[in-house]
Amino acid sequence: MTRRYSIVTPVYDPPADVLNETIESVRAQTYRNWELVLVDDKSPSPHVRDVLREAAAADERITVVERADNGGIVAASNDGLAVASGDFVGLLDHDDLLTPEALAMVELYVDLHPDMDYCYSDEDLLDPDGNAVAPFYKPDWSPERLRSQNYLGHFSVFRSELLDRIGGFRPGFDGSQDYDIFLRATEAAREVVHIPYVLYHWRQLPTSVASGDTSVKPYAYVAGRRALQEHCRRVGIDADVDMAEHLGNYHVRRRARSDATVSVIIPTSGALGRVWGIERRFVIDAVRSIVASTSRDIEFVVVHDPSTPTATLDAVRLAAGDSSVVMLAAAGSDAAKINLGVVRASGEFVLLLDDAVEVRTKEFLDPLVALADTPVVGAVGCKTWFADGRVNDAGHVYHGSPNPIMSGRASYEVGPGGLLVVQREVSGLSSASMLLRRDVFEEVGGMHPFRTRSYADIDLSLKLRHHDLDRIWTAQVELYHFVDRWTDVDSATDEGRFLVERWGSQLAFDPYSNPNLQPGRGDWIEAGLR
Amino acid sequence: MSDDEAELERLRRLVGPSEIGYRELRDDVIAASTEAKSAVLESGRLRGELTEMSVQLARARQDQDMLQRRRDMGPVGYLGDLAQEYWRASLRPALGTALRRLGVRRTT
Repeated sequence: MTRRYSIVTPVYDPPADVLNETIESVRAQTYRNWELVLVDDKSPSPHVRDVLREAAAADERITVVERADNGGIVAASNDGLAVASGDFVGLLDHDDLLTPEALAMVELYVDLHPDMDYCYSDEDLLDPDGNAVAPFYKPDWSPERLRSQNYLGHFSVFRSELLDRIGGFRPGFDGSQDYDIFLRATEAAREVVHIPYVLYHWRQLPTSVASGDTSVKPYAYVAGRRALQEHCRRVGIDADVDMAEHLGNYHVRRRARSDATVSVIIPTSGALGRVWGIERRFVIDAVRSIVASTSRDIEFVVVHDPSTPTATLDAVRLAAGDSSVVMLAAAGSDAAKINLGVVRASGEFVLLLDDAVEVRTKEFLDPLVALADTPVVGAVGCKTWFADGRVNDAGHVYHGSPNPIMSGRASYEVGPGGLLVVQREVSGLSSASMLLRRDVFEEVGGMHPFRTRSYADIDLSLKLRHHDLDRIWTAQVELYHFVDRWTDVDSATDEGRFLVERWGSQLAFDPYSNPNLQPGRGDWIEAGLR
Repeated sequence: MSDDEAELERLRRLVGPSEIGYRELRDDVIAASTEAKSAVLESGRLRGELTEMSVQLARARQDQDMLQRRRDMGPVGYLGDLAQEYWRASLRPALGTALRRLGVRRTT
């Protein structure tokens, strides 16, 4: 016996042709065992009732519920859920379209994932001319990203038992009722599955959020913020939720323990460089900017080449002010120096830092410490800028091959799907600015002493992944990182070959990318025509 | 008095810039660095836009290549291509998930 899918669609006054297209997109499903529940929320236009009744007469799988009064989208959706009899329930807005294979694809994924309680697919937009544009290729399940934005969206399908358990849509969240139910559903789901196919076309009407005009439904964002705040309370995250600069995105500002101790590990050769017209001894200015950007008591562990001039080391001590400074002379790679530095560090957390940095964010340690102070989190990284304001690094993507995400893009860009402004899980992070708990660093055996710094970063990130520890990238903290430390993985070199032999296909598989994106790139370019 | 001031001025010229001169020099350097920073950031903005255009161009080229390939491969080849995509996007990740669940991991 095949599974039955219920599609629930609250209807309020759409144009007749648009509503007909929506209904036809369900009738055109290649998978046959479905029901469509259309709930008319007392639409003022008489054509709506006519269209719905005609549809119900034409197909016995279509059920129409006519509400006696206008109760809003939450009430209408709950009426639909009450009538739905399927094993799974999908949500469809009254002006959007499903692709013909949508339910067949969901059925396939339910077979592949028997514990799946909730799934979501990729989606795109329908412009006013009916063209499918702006596909949103989503990552696999990424809870931290969901706490930054409602990236799940459409096409969402729930196991009916899960909906029974969490109790459907909640009144008071109109406009963000989807976000609220996604947050509650994913908290309770045994398995959340991403289907990497565009199964849903979201129509851009002037009055819909899909139009991109964030002033259309401002109340929705307020409700979204409240839904997220309640989610944080339920899952035990001590945080305040703010709306981000780009509406529709949120900042979860976790509170960091004030007694957390941090050691800043800086491997350096005491190099000089010219930035913004002035020559600087990188390590001195890095220490100075850190001291100016935090009120926490921190410890500096500077692991320097033996040839570093004494005057430079004296200047570092002076720049560190009242902070304690441990100076270690050691030859070798940056990764080897970091290992040595962590051994000598006394902090509960270690911040691995390149010497060619300057902090841009006040109290920059707090968001990093608060995130890293979670058992499931292995490491936290942040947004780094080149001196000219372009993005240096926004995490690593291991899709096809390892690459830095969106490197070289203008810093004001939001990125596809808000990639550059949201907090999210990533496969890898750069040790140019990476904060870990010291016990985590020790548990995974520290860094392999690659001479190539980015290889050591990739290796450390994959070791954290192997230990099921999340790597979180946040846009809430920004640093200038003046040099480009990235080196493409080259298996013709000894170190490159070693990295490939150690990690194999894991260098090419990234759950936070998408199979529809071009492998071997970090700029989220699509893989050819859709 | 004026002789003293003249002597002081002569001595200052002999020993180098006065502290007032140093402050002016420092202010000049900071102002120049601020200007340089603005100019560098503006050039970064332009370079960022250039990167964005390069990505768009790469995307257009990919689409063009794909169209050409689909035209050349004919219907049977196209079906094969779709099957390959299905393998890439669905079956292979599912297989990976299954293997991970079974504890088959490659780490060394």
